Parts: sequence; structure tokens; C-alpha cells
Amino acid sequence: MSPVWSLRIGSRRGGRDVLLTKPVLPAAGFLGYGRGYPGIFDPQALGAVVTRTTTLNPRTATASTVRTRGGFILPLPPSNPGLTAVLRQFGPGWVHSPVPAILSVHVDGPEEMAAIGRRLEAEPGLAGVELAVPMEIDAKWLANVAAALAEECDLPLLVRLPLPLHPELIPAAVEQGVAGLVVATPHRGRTGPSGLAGPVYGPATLPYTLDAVAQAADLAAGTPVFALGGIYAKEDAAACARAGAAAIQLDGLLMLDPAGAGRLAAELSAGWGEPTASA
Amino acid sequence: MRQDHCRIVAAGALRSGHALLEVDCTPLGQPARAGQFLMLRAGTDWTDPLRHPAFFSRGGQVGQLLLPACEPWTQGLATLVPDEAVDALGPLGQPFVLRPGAARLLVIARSEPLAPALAAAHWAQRQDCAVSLVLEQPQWQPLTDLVPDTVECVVGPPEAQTNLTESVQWADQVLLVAGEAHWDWAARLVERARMRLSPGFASVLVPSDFACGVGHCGACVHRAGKRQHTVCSDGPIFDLTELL
Repeated sequence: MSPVWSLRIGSRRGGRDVLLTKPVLPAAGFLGYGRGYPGIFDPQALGAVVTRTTTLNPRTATASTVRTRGGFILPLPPSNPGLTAVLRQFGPGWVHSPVPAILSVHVDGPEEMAAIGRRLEAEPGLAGVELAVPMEIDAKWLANVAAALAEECDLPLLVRLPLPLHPELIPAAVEQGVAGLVVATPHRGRTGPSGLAGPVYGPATLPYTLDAVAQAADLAAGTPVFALGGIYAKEDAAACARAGAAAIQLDGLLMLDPAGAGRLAAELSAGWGEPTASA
Repeated sequence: MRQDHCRIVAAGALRSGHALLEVDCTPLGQPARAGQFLMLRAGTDWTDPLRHPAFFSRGGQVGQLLLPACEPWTQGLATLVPDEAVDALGPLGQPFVLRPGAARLLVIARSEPLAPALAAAHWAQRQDCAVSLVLEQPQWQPLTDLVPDTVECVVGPPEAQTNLTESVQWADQVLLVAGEAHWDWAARLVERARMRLSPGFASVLVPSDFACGVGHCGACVHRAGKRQHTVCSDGPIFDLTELL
């Protein structure tokens, strides 16, 4: 029988550690703000709920989803009502939620992250923050943003890196004491008619995920790696674990087959394998 | 909301270029209502990795779905035969409601999805409401066979209808199925006919593609002023005054 899986993620200051008891999380944007699919997919099958990526101010994307052959593009950052409205609407629910809530955020720079951090420090229901790292930033930007959050709030920080993976970002994140690396936001693509550019999701992204997870795990110095991208089946998750992932985030499967995603989460909770060292 | 395999009762193609599916919604636990939709999985593998929204053209325990046949994903569904099953998530979206006391409904359909326009006509008739239905495109003429004979149907561009203003004056409520480009037109039409556009009088079904269909992803968010509407879960039918 497999040992019980658990993973403790902690903040840089060590004040608000969170114990994840299941190895499956939703990728940002694939389970909204945590209400799940009532009657179909119980969020309690998850180690935590990662919210839709949220910005300090409301944002409405100029285009919606675009379907491609074998995949789809979602805008990043997505439309969202802004931090104030999100906390007002969903914050009280997170306080009573049996599943930790991790707020995914998109920021322009350290000042915006500091402003978000000040708001989140007083948010009792929140268990952590996931930073959606934009493309074309450097290690200094990432270090400054991570430090800005740590200055203002004591929540664990997950850093979601984009593909193509820039290896120099990983030591920068680790040095800032981040609680985990999410690897990765899929490669960006663009469609003809609408011109929408954004991550291209779908089952075909798994090989890129596995390659990036393996690279990240080598550089992560023990920081947990969360695999994200194209995980649709138990064998996909197993491949991620072999590549060095401590846990996974489900993306498109949650939309295509929420009931199946629930079954997969339950299966993986029961049989992920050896327990992973705490962060 | 449930996800389950729903039995196909009937399937076929219409001369309008639409596919028609009758689906037993019993496994979904509640009958479908006008304005609602299912998120259908078009295949059994992962080559089409998103579900597709399919609106009801008639509600009920056995719901009727009208699908635009020009879409590649509908071609496979249109070939399903009775007793085969389709993986469905739903019913989703807020249903169309008649405002209290409404006895005359005007439905104007200018774009896909046309199904909610037909479903609203059905629903209103069942509430003893008189219904007038305007379908903009001539090729949509065969769809008039899908609504009760007592629904007054007009096919052709609304601008060409000489008595459209009178129809708006006649109506207690208007449902418009049209994209954003026509919302100002609709507001001006109502103002011409009734002096002012009052909340509750004109509803709009906002056409949008849905990725999740339940409000999670934010892909179908529409902004009106400072307000954001998630079309799939807050709508897809909104009061026109909220959109302008």
C-alpha cells in the first residue's frame, strides 16, 4: 500500500505553512475561484484550489478562448474582476473551505506585487499565492517581485514559469525561498483570425511539460516542482512524477471531463507513491 | 448540473444547414429550459480537447438541440443515431424568464445561436403568451417548422420589416439574439416605439463561445462600463440595459 502523500509548503518567513494532503491541484483558470463543479467534481479531491489568475485591477481580455486543432488558447492574464472584488466575493468562502485556496496573480512588477501583498496579508482564508510569471522577464525581475511579496505578507509563494523555460529563473526563485515551482505555463501561440496570443493548452503539451519538469527538478535544490500542462491520465501523472514532479496541476481535463478529473484526482491521492520531502 | 451520457432520441439535418438532436436529459437530473445549454463532448478521445456549447431549441425532459452544421464538431454529432449517447454537461446557464404579466413576446434572431430564440418561443407559448418571431436570414426559413403553428413567424432582415416598430409597441417583452453590433440598434428601436428603454423589457442573448461553460475560466467575460458579466454562468441572457 502506498504511503499517504503530503507536502508542506512554507513562506519565506515561515509564518503560514500549509500542508497539502493530496497531490492534485487545478491549474489557474480551470476551476474558477474554487467552487468546483457541484455534484460532479468535489474540490476536496484536490490538495488545494489555485484560482483564476487575478490582477490588482479589473481586466477584461480583448478576446475569448480560441480553439485550435488539438488545443485551445486562453488569454493570459484572463478577464477577472480585480483583487478587491475577488476578495469580497470569494474570500469569506475560503475561510471555511476544507481545501486550501491559493490565489494566482499576474503583476506588472514589484510595486504591484507589494500592493497585492498588503491586501493579502489580512486575508485569513488564503493559504498561498501563485505568481504567473510573464514571458520575457529576467531573474532580477522575478527576485524583486518575490521579495516584494515577502516584504508585505507571509504567505507561501508558488512561481508558475512559462515555456520556453529559462533556467536562470529557477535559482533566482529558489534563492527567494519560494514554496514551489509550477512548471509550466504552456508555450504561447497565436491564431490567425482573432490574433489572440496566449498559452496553447491541450494534451499535446505533455512532452514539453515533462522536459521542463526534468530540467526544473535538476535545478530546484529540493524546492517542490508542480507539473502543469497536458496531464490527462494517470500515466501522464506518473511520467511527471518520474521526471521529478512532487505534485501536478490539471488543466484542460477539468474542462473536457470534470468527472474524469475527479476520478483521476482520487486515484492519484490513493496511489501517488512515496511521500515527498517537505519544502 | 451533472455530467453524464445522454441518450439520443433523434438526430438529423435541416435544410437551414443546422443539425438537430433530441436528447434525453433524464440523467442530468432536471429538464432543460429555454436559454439553457449543454456542454457537449464531440468525441471520445482528446483530439477535440474542449466541450462545445449546444443550446436548446426546445426544453423539456427530452430536449431539442439545434446545432450550426457549418462547425466541424457538429458533423460527428449529426451522424449519431437513436440510442447512441453523447457526453453532456448541464443544463447550464440561467433560463429565459417572462416578466410577470407578460402576454406578448417579440423574439428577434439576428445571429447564431438561433436555438434559444426558438426555445423562448416554445416556452412563452406554453405560458399562454402570444409570440412573434423574426428570423433575419432567408436560409433560416426551415426553422419556422420547429416552433408551434401559433407563433407568428417573419423571415427577413428586421430593418426591412415595415411594422417592426408596431411589433415592439405590441410586445410586453422583447428577446434579441444578436451580437454587440446590434445592441444600440435594438435600444433605438425600443426607444422609438415606446419612448424609453425600461429595465426588464428587452433581453439579449449574448453570443459567445464557451470554454468551460460554468464561469470558471473567464473566457466569455463581457464588460459593460465597469461591470463584468460572465456570459456562460451569469447569462447567457441579459437585460439590454445592463449591457449598454
